[in-house]
Amino acid sequence: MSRTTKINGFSEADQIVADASHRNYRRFTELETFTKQPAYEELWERWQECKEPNWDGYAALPVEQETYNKAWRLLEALPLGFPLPSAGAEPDGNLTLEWYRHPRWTVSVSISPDGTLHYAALLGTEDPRGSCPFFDDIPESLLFLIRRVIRA
Amino acid sequence: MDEIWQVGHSIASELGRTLYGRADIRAASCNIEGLRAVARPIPPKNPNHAEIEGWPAKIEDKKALAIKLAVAAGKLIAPPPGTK
Repeated sequence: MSRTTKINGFSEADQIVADASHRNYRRFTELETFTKQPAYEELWERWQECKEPNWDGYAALPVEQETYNKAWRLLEALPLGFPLPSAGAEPDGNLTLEWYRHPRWTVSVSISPDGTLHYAALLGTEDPRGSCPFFDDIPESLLFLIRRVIRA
Repeated sequence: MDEIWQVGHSIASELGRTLYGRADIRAASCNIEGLRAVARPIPPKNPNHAEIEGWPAKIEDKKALAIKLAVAAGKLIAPPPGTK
């Protein structure tokens, strides 16, 4: 099920359809099969651990609230039923979401406060990487990389 | 080996954190795409401290190298019982 159902009309019927779609989406997210709650909780814990300066003992920058907000929205944007990532933090103050299958099959996505996604993957002998802005939807190119890892 | 665990526990204690383990990587294994391990002692607490230098400018390039270093580092080693 797609997370976003774009309703472009302005009539009462359009609004009814949009409301129903939103309710159905919420019901799906509450099912144990599709819940993202464990990932949200882990993300929160990482932020709490890393929001002070020098959180690693080696002058790491604090993770700002805006970075946490962006990472939370990135989790929300994942397709329903998508395997959940592990959350981490980096010394430059970015948060990371990682999908890991094997040491040589992994993808890591960093989220910065300005909403830029920086990603790198190791797919056997391939090492694709790149960056892209994040607004509300995860770029298909990044979802493709993640799918390659989780299906390996 | 005990010295390394002692450094780890000391830092964890200062930060109020729990030490869950460590991963080892040889200095020679850090020679990936321009990276190199350089001794940077922090006396008196960590005289054996080293840093990996030569990182590229772009974040995604740094991440790609970090993933490869993780492959070279191997598995997480849990602290031996009784080490504090």
